[in-house]
Amino acid sequence: MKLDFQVGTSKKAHKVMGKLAGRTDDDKAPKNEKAPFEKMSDAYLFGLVLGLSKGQKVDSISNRINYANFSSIEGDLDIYSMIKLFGDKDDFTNKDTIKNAIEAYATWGLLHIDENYDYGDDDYRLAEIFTNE
Amino acid sequence: MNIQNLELTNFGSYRGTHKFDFSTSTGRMGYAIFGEIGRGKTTLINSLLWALYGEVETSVELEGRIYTKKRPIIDSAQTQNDFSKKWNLPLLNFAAYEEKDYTMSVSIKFEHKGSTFHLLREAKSRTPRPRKNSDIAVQPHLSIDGRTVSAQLIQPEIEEIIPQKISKFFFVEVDSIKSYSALLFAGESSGGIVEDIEAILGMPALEHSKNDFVWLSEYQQKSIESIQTTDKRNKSILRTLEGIDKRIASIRTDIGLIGKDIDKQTKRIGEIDLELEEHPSAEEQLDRLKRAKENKSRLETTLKDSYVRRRSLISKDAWKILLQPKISHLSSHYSELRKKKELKSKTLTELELSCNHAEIEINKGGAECKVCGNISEGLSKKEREAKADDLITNRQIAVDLKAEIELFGTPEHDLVSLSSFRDSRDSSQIETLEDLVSRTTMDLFDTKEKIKLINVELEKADVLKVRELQAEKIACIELRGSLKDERKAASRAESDAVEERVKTASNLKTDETATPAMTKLTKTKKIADWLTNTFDKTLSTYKKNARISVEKLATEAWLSMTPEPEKYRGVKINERWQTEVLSSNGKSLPIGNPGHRQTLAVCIFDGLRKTSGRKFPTFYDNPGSNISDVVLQKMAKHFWDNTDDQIVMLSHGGGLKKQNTMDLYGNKLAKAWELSYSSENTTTSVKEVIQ
Repeated sequence: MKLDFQVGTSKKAHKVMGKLAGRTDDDKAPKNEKAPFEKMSDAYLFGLVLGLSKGQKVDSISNRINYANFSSIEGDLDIYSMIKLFGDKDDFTNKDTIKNAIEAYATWGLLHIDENYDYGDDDYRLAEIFTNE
Repeated sequence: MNIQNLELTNFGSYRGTHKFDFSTSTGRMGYAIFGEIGRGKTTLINSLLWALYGEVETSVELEGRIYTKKRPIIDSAQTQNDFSKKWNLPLLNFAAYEEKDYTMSVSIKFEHKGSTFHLLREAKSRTPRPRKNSDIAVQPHLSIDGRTVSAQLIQPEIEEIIPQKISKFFFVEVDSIKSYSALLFAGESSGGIVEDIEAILGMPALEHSKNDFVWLSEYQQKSIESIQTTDKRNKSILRTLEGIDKRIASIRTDIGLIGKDIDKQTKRIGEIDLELEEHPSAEEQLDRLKRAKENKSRLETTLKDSYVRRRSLISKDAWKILLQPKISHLSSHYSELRKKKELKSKTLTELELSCNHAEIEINKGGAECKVCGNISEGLSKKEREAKADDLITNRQIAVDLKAEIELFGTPEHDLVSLSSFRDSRDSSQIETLEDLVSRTTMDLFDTKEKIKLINVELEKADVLKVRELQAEKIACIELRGSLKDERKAASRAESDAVEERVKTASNLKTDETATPAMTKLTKTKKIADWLTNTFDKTLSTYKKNARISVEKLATEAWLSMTPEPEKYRGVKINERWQTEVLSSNGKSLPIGNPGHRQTLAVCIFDGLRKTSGRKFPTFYDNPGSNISDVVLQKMAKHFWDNTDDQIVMLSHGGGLKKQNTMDLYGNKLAKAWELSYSSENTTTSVKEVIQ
């Protein structure tokens, strides 16, 4: 089942997502070469899976910003199945619950990365995320 | 030359004064110096070279090239304890330097042609705290049979006994063997090696004598011509000769001027080298800065590449790794559910089948079941009523079971979905890259700090001056090269002109009533020409004979050193001193192995040393790590068996072991010493083991 709706995240997590993809406050500045992700959508998907794999999501999303149509993030993936398999039962009740779950997992994941894996000097070290968690 | 004693003070690893007394009444000429690597054996050789020539060269092989440098007495880096990149260590003992004892000296007493020589070379500081070589003054002193030799005559005296160029053939040690083996096997032997070899065989002196006779012949010819000028028939020829003479004179003037220019450039190169030695720290800092910048650039590239590779790994499906622990857990859960669902489904099927039977029995009182084919017996009414009650209950149970099965969902499909998220990758590659990033970042930080420090040092140093000097040196070397080419061309033109002159002069007519002076001059000229030709032939024969002698001696040495002599005919040396080894059937053999090449170089050394006829002690140090133990043993035997002159064997833990040397050659030893580290530090301690 393809999920064709707009997803977003909190303003803070959106900024983190940008940092993770090497975006700086100055649009004209070159991308940060140390960034761990090629694109913001890669960071969003990673945050979502991180939240999902840990069973963690934010209770609410403050200052929500629409980010993108989910189909652009999802690509060829079957996120519906992923939510169904790894998420809570309530997550896939209907399209709205799925959308809300995606945003809550992704927001939690992005903020978690920023809080725990920011190495300073615009650098992140993510290797431990795969083993420590 | 026979060494009687050698005394070193603060030289290399020798702290304080150490004496080696070579005098003996045994008549034996063999000496041995034992000691592990680094205990001061090679330093002993270096001390002798320094005493004789005031310099010690060292070389290192870097990326296939051999670099040679003169070792300084003091090095400013020594004060900073920075020896990381240094291979030409200073000669003054480190401990002495630290303890502010800046005197270094080597004294040799030796006998040569019945006279006793005492040579002392000492280095003293000009300043309270010397930092560079120019802060040190070196002074040689020489006395012959108690008479002091004036300072200007000391080096010529030493050169007379053993020229520096020749001395290297008496020191069998790894650096000179390596550089010689490289030259011997170069595609085209360089002028350097031919020059060195001709020097050892005394050929320059013979050339000089030949040139004297050429001059004499020319002089006589001029005298003859001056008489012939009176003969009118010679007018036109004499005019031609005059023109040729002018040309020759002009060419010779040019050659002389070019020679002076070459000497000027050589002198300037020497001066620049001295000036550069005044700025060792700046020169070195520039070198260090260059290396540090190269290192920085390399580290930056590594860092950038590592980040790119990590980004690519993390962005591409790395999230799947996060799911793997949960997949294992969910997989067992869904498998369990599937089993339970299957069990319930089986129960439901059986229940439905039994309900089906019951229905047939109730309705028809016994009949063939259309589902399973069983034939039931006829039932009474009471029995059918009881069956009907059971059927109602079982129908309800089946409905409940169906509902229960529904609740299991579709675990079989979930398991299939789950497998699409399975991934065998782990995070090890990302870990490795992040480790590399951390290490490279630290190295880069250190390198940047190092560059900052070097720049601070450089601000103090006169970098511009050093760069100017280096550029000037390169220009001088290039100019000298082109001047040498010019001189060669001029020499060719001179030979052509001289030949033309001889041809033209042969047409001169002499008056029948020639004066007796003319007859005398002609005779003298003929004698000079004959002597020139004889010298030419003798020189050529001597060169050939010398080459044959070296070839013969090198062959003997090669056959005595190689483990399978029957496989070889010997060593062959051509006119350009290029060397090859011939197999037993006379075919040229490829000598590709570095150990073979070094062994062959040792053999050539041996041949040259013996052919030179010079009396000088032979010092046998480690001839090269590429030479096998078997060959080393045979080589040592070869040298021990040739002890007409003093021979000093330096024996270590590698190819030449102490016990082995004592067992095999103890009867040839006049004296032996053992070098070790002193109990407090790594300075050399000397102990005489055979007296």
